[in-house]
Amino acid sequence: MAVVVMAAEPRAEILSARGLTKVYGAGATEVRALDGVDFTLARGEILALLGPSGSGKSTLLNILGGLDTPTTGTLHHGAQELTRATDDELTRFRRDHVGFVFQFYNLVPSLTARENVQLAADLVAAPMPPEEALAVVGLGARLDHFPAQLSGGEQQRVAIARAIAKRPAMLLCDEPTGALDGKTGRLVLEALLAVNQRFGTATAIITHNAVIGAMADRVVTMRDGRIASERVNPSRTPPAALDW
Amino acid sequence: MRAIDRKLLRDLGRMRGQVITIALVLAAGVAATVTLTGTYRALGAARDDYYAAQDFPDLFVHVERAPDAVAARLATIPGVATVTPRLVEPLAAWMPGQARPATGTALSLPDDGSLRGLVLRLGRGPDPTRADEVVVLDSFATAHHLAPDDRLEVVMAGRRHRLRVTGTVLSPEYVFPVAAGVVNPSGVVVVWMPRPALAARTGADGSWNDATFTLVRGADQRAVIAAIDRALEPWGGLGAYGRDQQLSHRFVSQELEQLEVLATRVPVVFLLVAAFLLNVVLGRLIQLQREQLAVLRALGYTKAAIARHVGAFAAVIVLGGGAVGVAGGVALGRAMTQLYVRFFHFPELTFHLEADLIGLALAVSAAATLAGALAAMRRVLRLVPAEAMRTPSPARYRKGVLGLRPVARLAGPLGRMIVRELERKPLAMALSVVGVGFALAIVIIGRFSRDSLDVLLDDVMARSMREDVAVVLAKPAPIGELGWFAHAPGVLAAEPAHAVPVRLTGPRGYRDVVVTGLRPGDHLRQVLDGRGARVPIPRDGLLVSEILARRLGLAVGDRVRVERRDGDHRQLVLPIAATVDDRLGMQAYLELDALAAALGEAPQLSEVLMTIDHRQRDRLMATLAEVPAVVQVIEVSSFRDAFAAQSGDSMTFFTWLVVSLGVVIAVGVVYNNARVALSERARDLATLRVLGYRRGEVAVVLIGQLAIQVAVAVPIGLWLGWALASALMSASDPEQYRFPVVISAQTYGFAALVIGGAALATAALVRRRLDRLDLNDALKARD
Repeated sequence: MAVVVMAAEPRAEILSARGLTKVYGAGATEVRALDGVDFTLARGEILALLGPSGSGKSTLLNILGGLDTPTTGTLHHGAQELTRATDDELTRFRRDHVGFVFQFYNLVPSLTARENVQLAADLVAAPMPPEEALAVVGLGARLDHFPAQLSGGEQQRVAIARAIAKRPAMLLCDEPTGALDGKTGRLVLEALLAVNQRFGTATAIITHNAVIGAMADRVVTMRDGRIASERVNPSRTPPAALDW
Repeated sequence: MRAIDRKLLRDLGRMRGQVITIALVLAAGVAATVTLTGTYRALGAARDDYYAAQDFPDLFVHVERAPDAVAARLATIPGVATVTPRLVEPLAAWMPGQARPATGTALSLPDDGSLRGLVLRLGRGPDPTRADEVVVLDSFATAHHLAPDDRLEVVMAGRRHRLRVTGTVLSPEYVFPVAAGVVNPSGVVVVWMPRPALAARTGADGSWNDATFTLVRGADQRAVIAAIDRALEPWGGLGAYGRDQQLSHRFVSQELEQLEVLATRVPVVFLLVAAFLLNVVLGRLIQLQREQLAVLRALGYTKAAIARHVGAFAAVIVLGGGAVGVAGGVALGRAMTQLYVRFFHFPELTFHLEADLIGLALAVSAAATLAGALAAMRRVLRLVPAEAMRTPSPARYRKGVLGLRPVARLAGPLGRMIVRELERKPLAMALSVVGVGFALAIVIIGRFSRDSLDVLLDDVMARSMREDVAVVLAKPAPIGELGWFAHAPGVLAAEPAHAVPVRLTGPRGYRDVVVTGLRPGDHLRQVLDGRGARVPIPRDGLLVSEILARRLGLAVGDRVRVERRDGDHRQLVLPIAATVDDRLGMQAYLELDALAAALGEAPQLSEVLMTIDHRQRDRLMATLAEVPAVVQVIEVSSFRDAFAAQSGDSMTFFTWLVVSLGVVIAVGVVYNNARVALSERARDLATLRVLGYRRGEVAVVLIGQLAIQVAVAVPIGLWLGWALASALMSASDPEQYRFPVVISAQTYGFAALVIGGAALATAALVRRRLDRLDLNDALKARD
């Protein structure tokens, strides 16, 4: 049974955004994917980002992770203003601080589980050994399997291992269970929780499955490019207890 | 090993079919460069070294007869470095087993008794004190297994002579042994003997009738020629000429020029195609890898790292293709050089792979790859890492972009899939079509020279030289002599021709040509125009090749200065009565009687053209061999055969070379297109199978697309082939050949078949892959 951690004292911010907007197109075809979002991500917290399709969750996550830049607004990582960073600086930021988990896993099909993890490990000076990262997500026995030989849940756990191998300060997960059934999805969430507990990795999980919000410290709900509500859970529900 | 490098290796392994075919296309381009450039250089170096080592003369002159003292005077002409006077005598040799005599020349050796200018291959030089010792041209000796101490019986100056062979030699004047019309080494005999011995046999003591010159560096050749001609006018000088008129040199140089054209143009075509292929294929491979590359970016790999990753993929192709190309080019170059060894007789002709050639080959292949990979690379660098996060959206298809909507409506759902796919990517479709078209064009290039040769042999020779035998006389004889030839055994008809060497001068310059006098009613020699129609020989002026008139700056009705180059060297002015767009050389004709009148002499003949009864051929040859006035007996058929055999050999090699390279390109383009299409559409096709379509029906979608591309490419390729052939043709010297681009229906058909075959083989491969398509794999979520 996972340990329940209380969200007691306020923690240091790792990311803070002010007035983020993201506009696609112009004139009649203009789409405001983000419309003045203020946001923070604190060290060690698990944050669930809820909202229907098109509410701006993915856009926000992409900007937070340095994959995309906002139209206006500022984003700080500590003292560094990411909204002014060059492409190289953003790459550096991703490499050193961010781990991504995608809905469709995005493993490199020509590399084994171990090699997919190593792909990330190669980028940093003191990575977690791929074997260890895979053990964290419960795949210590499937090191040399290619993605095509793994189930969807296993592939997603490899993706998580790949994300944590760099020992990032934050994990950004975009619908990590979106393509999985409930049972497999719970396994993946267990893996995310394990990482959070073991390494204190701040974890933002995008989902439109509201149930997942119960395992987070904080739940932010988005609608039409704005933050519609925000609540702090008094306690985190273990993934095994989630019901969907 | 870093994981990203392992990915590279696995990608290369997984796409080995595509990697190998692209590398082979590149290898084809590199091999063509190495083979053609290397052979061109080998031949050029062999010629230049040989000429330099043996002091190959710069100028040549023939005179009727000049005393020795004149030679000393020639040496004082400014610009002349050395003068070598010599005796030159036509000769014929009856060799065992030959139906007709070999013809050629006896030359005197330098007065110091040395073999200067010759390369001794076997035996020794003749002993100056022995009157019957000679050295023989090596190609002739080899063809007839003549060795030192063998006897050689020849007819010279109207008498039989028994000579003793002391050695065999090579001469830069006979790199390509040719004696008026005969190009077969067994039919061209050349002997060298001390001058006193030759003079004694020809009655030319104390005189010479031929001289060669070397010039000092920077000498004005035209001025020297003019001075020599002035000095030799009293002695019956036939006009000095440079190397460009020396027969062997001309053949060698022509071959070099053609090789240069091939070496500079053919590889360009290959490398362009290779670059284009790389562009298309790398571009599409990268398209397929978009998400993976985006993930790498998201993980934190820099643009430079991704560019290196993609670049390494291209580099493997360059290095692999380059290495195979260099190795293949060396092998092909050796084979091609060996081919030249058979008919160009150099002391040394070897193919060397020079370092700069490898550098050149690698540079061009790298340039081709870079050009090809650049666009793909740019796309990679523009790749937004967020790409990896986006939910996949179906590719955008539109309706009726290419106006194919009616087709789509008729075609049913599978046909519509094909049509929409083509419409979705009109540019990719166009590029593929051009690629296949180029492959087809290259196959045409490989074959069209054969078509041109057929036209030369069938049109030019068969239809304008209708005689069976042409007999060349030592010097012009009265026209009445024709009767004797007409009644010789086996002769069915005999017609005269009078060839007079002249210099024609017009406002733009002069050309040394031969005016041929023909009788109006005769039919064995005919002048044909470009369409093959017979052109009558005028009597009130010259009929000249159009190119000759143009080069002299003359038109019909203009008057041209004619200076006779033999006999009395008389000068006259004749009008241009007509021009003809003939195919070969620079010709001039006049009616035989009118020519005689203009020259102020009775009608003469220098050649007798005959049709013969082939059953009596051997008797006729034996009879002619006994006639001292006959210096040459040319059988048009054997000339044709020899010509066809000789050109045929090098042409077969070239055809084989280029056609294989064309096939490589065709397979490269078609296979790569099909494989990319297969990976792009695997999901669609698997879906069709899940819906209940049969394998064959599913294959139609992919193979139909392929078939349409090839079908559209064929006419484009045929046109491209014609255009490339024209470009190659335009490089040959119009003063020698003027061929229209002739491409036979067979060549077009052959090219289309080769490409069709490549397409069918590819279709079979694709079909096999489709049959093995794993539905689960293909339908799984991305990755």
